Amino acid sequence: MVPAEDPFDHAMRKAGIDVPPDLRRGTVAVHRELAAMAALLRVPRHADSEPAGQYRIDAILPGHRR
Amino acid sequence: MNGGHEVHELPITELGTLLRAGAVTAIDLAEHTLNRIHAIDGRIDSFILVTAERAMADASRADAELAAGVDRGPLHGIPYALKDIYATAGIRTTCNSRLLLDNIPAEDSEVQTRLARGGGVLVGKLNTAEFALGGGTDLPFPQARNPWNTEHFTGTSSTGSGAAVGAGLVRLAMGSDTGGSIRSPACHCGVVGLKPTYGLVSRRGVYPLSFSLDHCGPITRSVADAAVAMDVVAGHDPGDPSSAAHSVVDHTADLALGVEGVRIGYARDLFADTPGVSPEVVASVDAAAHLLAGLGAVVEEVRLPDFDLFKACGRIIMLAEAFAIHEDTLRSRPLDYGRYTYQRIAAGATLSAADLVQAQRLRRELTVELNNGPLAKYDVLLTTTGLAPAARLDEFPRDWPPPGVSVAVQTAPFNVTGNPALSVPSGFSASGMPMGIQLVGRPFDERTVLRVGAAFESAVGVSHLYPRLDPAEHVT
Repeated sequence: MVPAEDPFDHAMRKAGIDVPPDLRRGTVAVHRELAAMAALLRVPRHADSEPAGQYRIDAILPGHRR
Repeated sequence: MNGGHEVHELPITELGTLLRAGAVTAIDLAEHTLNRIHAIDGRIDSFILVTAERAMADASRADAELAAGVDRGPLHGIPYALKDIYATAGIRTTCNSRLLLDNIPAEDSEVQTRLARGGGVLVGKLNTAEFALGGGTDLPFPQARNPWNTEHFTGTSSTGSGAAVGAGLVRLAMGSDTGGSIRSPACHCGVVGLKPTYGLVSRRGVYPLSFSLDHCGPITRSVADAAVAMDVVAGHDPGDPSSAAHSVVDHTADLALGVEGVRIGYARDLFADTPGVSPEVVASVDAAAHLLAGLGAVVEEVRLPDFDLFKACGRIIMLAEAFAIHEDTLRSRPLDYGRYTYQRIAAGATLSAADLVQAQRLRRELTVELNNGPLAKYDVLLTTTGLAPAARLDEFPRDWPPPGVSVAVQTAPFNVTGNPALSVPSGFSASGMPMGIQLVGRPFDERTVLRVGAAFESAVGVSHLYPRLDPAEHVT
């Protein structure tokens, strides 16, 4: 069996980021902190908490208002 | 000297009165400022670049215009400086990064355009954590130092803005705030910092850290100075996609109204039980709540959503957006970043698209909960800015993260929601380092935040104090 790739290494390889060995320790520390934070976000959400407000055509094309 | 005070000790409005009366000239103010920078800044490294020739040219023009009856408003002839992430046409703008050491913008940032149009006198570009995020000692320019004790941190990331205003080199410095980068250095350097409502001050031409969390705002000697600055820099900019089409008010109008009857929600739970919080900080904010109640405000404790949710939401959005901005250079020039900057932004590559979407969903919920809950009942919220007085610089390790609460501030919630938030000095720790309270208002209600801040500032009475940096200077 091939051992599973470390999630940090997998994400970095996928992103095309080659972390210099000397900078790895601190980068992994931030990754672990982010992973713990991301877990906090996985709770049931309200129907109106969708993020579609990120995109509003009238804000992007104000001249097209009628 | 004017009335026993050096000119740098006088509020911007008083300087304006003196300028218009002919008792002082813009050239006098510029020379005084440049002399103080020359005498003092070597100890605090708040400036990356001093624009002396530009300052004298701006000042000369300001004097000529006043003599000709042209008055550009409250900042006419007033010296100011910009965090070195604000683009300045023809003037190097580095973000304190080896990646941008040769960056000379062709155009001014919108804020610089407004300050210049308002007759301000640009004296220089100020130190910053690299790209308004990474600090440390491996950057192109020396780390800014706290003017109250040069062995200590300034707060981050508008490090030079906090230090320069704290040292009394300028009364107005523009900063930027993505998770607390105006309020943190303001708090730790003993001055005032305003993060305005998201969209109220243009971000155009300011190097982005996180598009949807970045806010531009003033760091100043006093609340009144901040209000005056807002009157000049705030307002809709069609060139900034996040700029709010909101009518601009007179930010100075309510400064003298006091707090009688103002409803203040004291968000003590946001910080008082946080592991590592300084008892001095807790006592200082408790004292502020009592003081405001004594001035006639209605102060009641209020609970906010869990701070950890705000922190997670803000951090994930910030590093996802920062990684998107920097991914090419993280691949091609990794060793040109400072260690802290690289380690924090590169880790954004490990976030998934779903992480970002979940954070955006939570952001909407938190914004609704804060504004339809506590801020529907209270005019202003009171909490702390920092969890502890500024740490010593030698407490920072080579790699991220720093230990304990050394860089912790309770400011990120209001970047997530976009509400205006003001840091005001509340006194000093036993070790002589500044502490500050944070006042948070409803969207676009900077006026009430500034009103409460002005009443508190006046009652506490520490804003006239300056650190002893030059043995020859007058210290009050």
